[in-house]
This record gives sequence, C-alpha cells and structure tokens, in this order.
Amino acid sequence: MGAIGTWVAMRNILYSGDNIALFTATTAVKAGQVVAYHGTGVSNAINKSVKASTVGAIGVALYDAGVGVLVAVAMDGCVVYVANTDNATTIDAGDLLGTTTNAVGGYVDACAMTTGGAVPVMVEKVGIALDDIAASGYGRMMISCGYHTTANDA
Amino acid sequence: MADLGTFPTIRNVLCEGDNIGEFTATSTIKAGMVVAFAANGLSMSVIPAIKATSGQPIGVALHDAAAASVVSVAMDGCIVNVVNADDTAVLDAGDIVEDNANAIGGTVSAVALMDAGVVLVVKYQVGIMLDITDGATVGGGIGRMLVSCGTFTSANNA
Repeated sequence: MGAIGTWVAMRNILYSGDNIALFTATTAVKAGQVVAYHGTGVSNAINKSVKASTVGAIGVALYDAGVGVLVAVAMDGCVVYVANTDNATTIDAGDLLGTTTNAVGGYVDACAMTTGGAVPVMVEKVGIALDDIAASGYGRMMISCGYHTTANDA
Repeated sequence: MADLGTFPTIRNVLCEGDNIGEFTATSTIKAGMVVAFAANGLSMSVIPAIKATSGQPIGVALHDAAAASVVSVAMDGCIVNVVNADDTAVLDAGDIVEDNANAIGGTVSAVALMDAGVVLVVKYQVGIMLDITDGATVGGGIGRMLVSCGTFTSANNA
C-alpha cells in the first residue's frame, strides 16, 4: 500500500448542506481537498491539509483555487465527496476520518481508535465516512472537524 | 433502574434544523431512534444504534422505516427528540450522550467523563442533551438533544 502521488480531479463536491464560507487560499487548492490553517495560522486563510504540517482542518474546498484567491469551503454538517489517500487500503462507512501526511495534500484516511503504548494521541479529525470508499477512490463524508483522542493500551 | 423495554412511539422528532440526509434502513427503524452504521458499515446504510454492536452513529431517524426502505436522518446541528435508555436514570440537560447497549436499539445515555484505570476509552458520541428527562417522572423518558455525532474519549484516573 502507498500514498497516491497525484490528485485526481473531482467534480460536484457538495452533496448536501449549506454551511459554506469563503476563505483565501494561500496555496493552490483543488476541488475536494480537505483544507486547513497553516501551522502559523493566518486569519481566514487556508492551505490544502497535510497532517503534521497544517493544523486545524476547517472543511473541504468546493472548487479549484489559485494562490491568493477566494475559495468556497464546505464546513461542519455538510456532506461532501473526499478522496482516500491510499492506493490499497479501503475506508469503511462509519469510519472517523482524519487528515493524512500525503504531501499531495487534502486527502483523508481512517483515524485509529487506539494507539499502542501508554500515551494517548490527539489527531485531527475531519468527518465521518458515509460510503465505503475504495482504495484510490472517493466517497461521501459528513464534515465534522476538530480533534479526536485515541485511547492508549498500556 | 433498568433498561427501557419498549421503544416509545414519538411524533414530531425534529424540533429544529435542516441538515437532513437520506439513508437506507438495513433493519426496521422507529422514529426517534439513533441510527448508526453497522460495525462493517455499508454505504449510506443504517441500523438502530446499539452500543458495542453497531458502529459510528450518524444521526436520528425522523420517521419509521422498514428494512430496505429509505429513511430521513437528522444529522449534526439538528435538534431532535431522543429516548433515554433507562427507565429511571436521569439524563441531565448539558449531558454529552452516547449510544446505549439497550437491545431495543436507538436509545441514549450519558457518557461517563472518566473511566477508572490507566487506559482511556473511546466511545461513540451522539449529541448533547438540552432537556432533563428520566423514564418515570420527567419528560416521560423523551427529551431534546442537539445532534453532534463523533467520538468521545474519556479520561483515565491512574
């Protein structure tokens, strides 16, 4: 299994919902990418999300946007199409989804519920998968951004 | 205190909100039941939520639905009437609530904010209670809840 190396163009990102807001893209953003604040966040400005690089995922871009232009972002409660980061791992309907380290940006994968060891880990969550999402595929997710704390097991 | 034995008939489940989605019921669902994906979830398909049996809850059914029919589900941000899993335990306004193991399905109970021991516990959150209700004297076991589905991790104490 491995991370997808190129963003696949998506259309008709918004499935339902009206919680939409305008943000300024500080990097080029593609339709369907999860977007987040930069590590040193700037007011109302977003990047495509890359786990451990960006912070505070806020929603999903509804269309392509160049650097410095406004982009409409679907936020909490909306149902949108998002892309699975991995070319071999599937996502199950009902999985809690989070940001990924895929450098392409904007992808999702399933959040772990338990992390090995004595220390719980806080991860950025983006939403709940409503579809089974194939490897390298895309499917619907209800947006619910915030943080999820995994359980420790020792 | 004991598990509620029969899921009540609820009319006017939706109090406020318009974040409604259409899902396929894969088993019989009653109005006001919390619905969830099966443990091995199927796309856009839900069942009555039963803790430790079903998977992630996604909202509350707005009407009765037979297996294989479409059901409208109130999702995050909506305010709906839900059913207390217990016939006497109080749900307090402000309580974070989760799915419950009551076999009738679709009921809620308050989340324990801390679990004893060294290990944290991840639970399925359904929402936040807006009313006080118990099964005997207050609210008839039915109360309003803001839908806010996801996970909740309780604290350890050792």
